[in-house]
Amino acid sequence: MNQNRRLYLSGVLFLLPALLIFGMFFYLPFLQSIYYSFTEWNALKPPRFIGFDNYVNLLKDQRMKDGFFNTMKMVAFGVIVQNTLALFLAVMLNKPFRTKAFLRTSLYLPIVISLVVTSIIWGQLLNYEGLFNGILIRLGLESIIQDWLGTVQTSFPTIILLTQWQGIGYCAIIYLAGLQSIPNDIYEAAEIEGAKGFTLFRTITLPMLMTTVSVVLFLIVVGGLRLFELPYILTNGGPGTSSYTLFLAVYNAAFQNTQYGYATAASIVLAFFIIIVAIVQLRITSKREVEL
Amino acid sequence: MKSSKAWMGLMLILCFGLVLSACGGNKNNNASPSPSASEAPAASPSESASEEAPKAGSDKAFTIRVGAWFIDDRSYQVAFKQGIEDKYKELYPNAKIQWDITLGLPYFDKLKAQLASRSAPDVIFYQNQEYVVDGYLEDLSNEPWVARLNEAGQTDLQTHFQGKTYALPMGGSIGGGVWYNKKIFADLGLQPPKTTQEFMDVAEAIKQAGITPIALGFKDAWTAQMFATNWLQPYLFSEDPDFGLKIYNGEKKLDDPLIQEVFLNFQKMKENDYFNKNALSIDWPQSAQLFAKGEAAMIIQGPWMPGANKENIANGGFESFDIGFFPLMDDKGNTAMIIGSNEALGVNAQTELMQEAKDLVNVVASPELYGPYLVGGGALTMLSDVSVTYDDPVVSEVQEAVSKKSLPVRLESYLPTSGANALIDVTTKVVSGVKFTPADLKPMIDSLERDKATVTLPE
Repeated sequence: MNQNRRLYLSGVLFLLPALLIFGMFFYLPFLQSIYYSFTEWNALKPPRFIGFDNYVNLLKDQRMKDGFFNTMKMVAFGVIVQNTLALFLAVMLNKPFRTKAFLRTSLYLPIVISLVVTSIIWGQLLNYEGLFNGILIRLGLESIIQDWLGTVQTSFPTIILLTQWQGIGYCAIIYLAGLQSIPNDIYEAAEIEGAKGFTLFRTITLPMLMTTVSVVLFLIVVGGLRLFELPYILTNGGPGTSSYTLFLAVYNAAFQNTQYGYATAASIVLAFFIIIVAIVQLRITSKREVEL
Repeated sequence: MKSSKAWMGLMLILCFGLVLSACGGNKNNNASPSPSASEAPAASPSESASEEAPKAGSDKAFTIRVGAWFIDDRSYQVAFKQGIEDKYKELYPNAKIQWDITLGLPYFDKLKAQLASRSAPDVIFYQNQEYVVDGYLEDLSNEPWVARLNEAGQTDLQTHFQGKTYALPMGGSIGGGVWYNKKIFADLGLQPPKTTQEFMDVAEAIKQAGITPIALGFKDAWTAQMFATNWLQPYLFSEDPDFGLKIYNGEKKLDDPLIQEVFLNFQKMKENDYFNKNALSIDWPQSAQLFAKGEAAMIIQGPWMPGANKENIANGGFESFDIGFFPLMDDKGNTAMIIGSNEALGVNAQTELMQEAKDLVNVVASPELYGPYLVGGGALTMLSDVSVTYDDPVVSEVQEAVSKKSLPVRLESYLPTSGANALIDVTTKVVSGVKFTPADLKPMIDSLERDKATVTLPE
């Protein structure tokens, strides 16, 4: 056996355990899921083949529909607001000032705390008799206090704001790393040419940062599409179906309604949707990337 | 070269071993690790039980798992659990009971996953008939306590199917009703209402006195289902016991005017501020605290409320008060209580500790354990040789309501699970302040149309 072949075989053998595990715990269940998605299956009786019924029923399910629209709102808000604010904060944090290190740490802390713990704490704070309403009363804003998580109009917007609170700092730190990788001599050269302020940002910072923008947008979009923990713990999709997300709708279809076949169909559609959205987003942003 | 061949050989062996261990079936998933379970041949559970099962009084050491969602730190539950352990030790001195307790609804999610993966406990407390219908529970028709079941016990829906008995009904529970603070009512000169209008009037009077009329804990979605179901019951079933069947057969629709009327009642109560402001963001224990403190005059709950209220008052140091009961009613004053076992105790058909599991159920069915459990939970007996005297006189008010009219079926008996969940969605939506429209009932209608095949009609 020649040297190259031996090396190749060694590599394959070292990869084999990981590939086997990946195959058994991901690839094989995925293929099984495709089968189950065409069945009526409550995980207690054997699955019964029903063709495309599960996929057709997705379009009629109120929870799925509300989950879809809420999830899209989440993603849109993240892309527009969270992304912009994170970039703004990163630009500010990139300037020299004394408490920079403390502020960077404070911004990053929310993402370090477990989402479950965050949800429980915020649930208490946002209760009708919680601290948040208490502060509003002290500020003389008693007229606007309400059960923030118990009203159809405010439950999902509240959840969106909580995800922003958790995610902005994380995105800002990623942007900060990107900003610090832009060489200073490019800014110096531009300043010599007379560029300053927003012009510098638009012509130098933003194009050089596009690779980071791709990454951050990807994280925001996929994170938004996968939102589950906050609505599950805080509202379980209620009141009514006002705070449902796609992931929560799939989860409840499986574990509340015991419709595992239907939930599998929904999760396959969701997976492909996430893949397509991610590919489109990466294609759009990668075209604008500038390399040194 | 020799060492690289040795490494390659080792990697191959490791991979092969990994494949074998992953692909190997474990036929002993249900029994807890024990000498008897591991020694048992891979035969059907009943065969292995008859060959290997230790006789009562056996010295064999084993661990038997019991699953439950409601056994918490309330004193009667603690006593119940201890009583089972003590009495079971008399039969099996070296046995250990492992309590697999997950409080609340997540227990049922977990139980379904466990049953599907053959890792469920040996003995299972459960609700709903689906576990019986889908063949996950052992037929217990020949057990000694079955002959002791009274008429209510013999007709209990969630423990019986196709003429067989699959579980011990843990007492007859009312589906729910209105528990009220007698002191508040007396102070305000109020009487328990008999019609929906009187109910609204009573709530208004209580609200004018600065007290929350009704405490809700709808963060626990089952409380929303309980309120809706028990209020639908008199409207739908008091004059037509076949209403549910007519819904199933399509003779009546789920947007029937009677059903709409109940949700309009909810809307009216919300508009008039008869519920606590945080109705949708607190759970049932928190709503029970509001009631125990005297901050709310009424609460819609199950038969465990008197005992739970006493404990809340004692633990919280609140001023004690007598608790009263009245059933939910329709506009004409009709009532129709739901009666059936709240909890049922069955044996996992896959267990390898079949006889031990059946013996544990027999232990629970003993008068010394069953009786106090009924008293603590406010449930009515379903065993003819167990009669109980309740500490709280309110139980006689419950029994009086039950004796007027009670049914073992409810609307959800004729709906798929998705339909029952759609009912919760409408209820929480209306209670959150959204105006009710008939279109809100469409998801329930769609779910019945879509998932009708999953409904098991009551016998």
